Amino acid sequence: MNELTTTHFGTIRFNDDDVLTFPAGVPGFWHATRFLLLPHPSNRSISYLQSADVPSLRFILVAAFSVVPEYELSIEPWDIKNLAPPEQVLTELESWFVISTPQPDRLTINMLAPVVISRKARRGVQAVRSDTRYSHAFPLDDAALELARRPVC
Amino acid sequence: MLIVSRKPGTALLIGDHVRIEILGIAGNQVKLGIEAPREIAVLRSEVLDTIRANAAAAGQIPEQILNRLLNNPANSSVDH
Repeated sequence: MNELTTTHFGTIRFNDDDVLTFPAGVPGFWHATRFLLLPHPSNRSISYLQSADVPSLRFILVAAFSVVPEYELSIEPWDIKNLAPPEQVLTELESWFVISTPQPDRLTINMLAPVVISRKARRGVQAVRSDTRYSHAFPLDDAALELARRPVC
Repeated sequence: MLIVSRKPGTALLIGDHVRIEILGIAGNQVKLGIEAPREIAVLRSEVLDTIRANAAAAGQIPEQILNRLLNNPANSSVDH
């Protein structure tokens, strides 16, 4: 059992098996390659991506399908390589958007670069798209928030 | 902005140490080969956008806006 005293969640305990490896790091935080996905206690559309090494580094994620049900995932070959060992078929991928506040009263999601996680492989990537279909700072408006707040049955 | 037309197989030099070669064109994609010293970061522009967005996301998110996001009136009013 490992222990980490985090800036935002106090002391958390986790097994090695709980750690998700991001082989390529996360853009801007390339040194951070080990993360924990912590579920929000009451909202299943929200999770925290907490660095297993840097106590202060955490991202707030919202499940892609909960805010943009029609989102079409596209993963570049180099990210696919990082998500699964060769020969392993990619299945049951989870897509999350990183929530950000570019201004104090504004919430945005990064749809250009979803966080894609394979729990089976215990790996993740922030899969930056090469197309221009989606924005890196898409406003998370009240309608989308309402979607995210719906209970998942 | 300097605009240059180049053919596949030709290259551009930036300063003494950066060389960009046009390897090929297929459909609407251009394949570039970039030689640069290790200390020079070569990034796709969309990665740069994500680096900036991540920096903002990793910082402090104001309490009030976080509550607005996390409050779950639907859940609290429904009995399962």
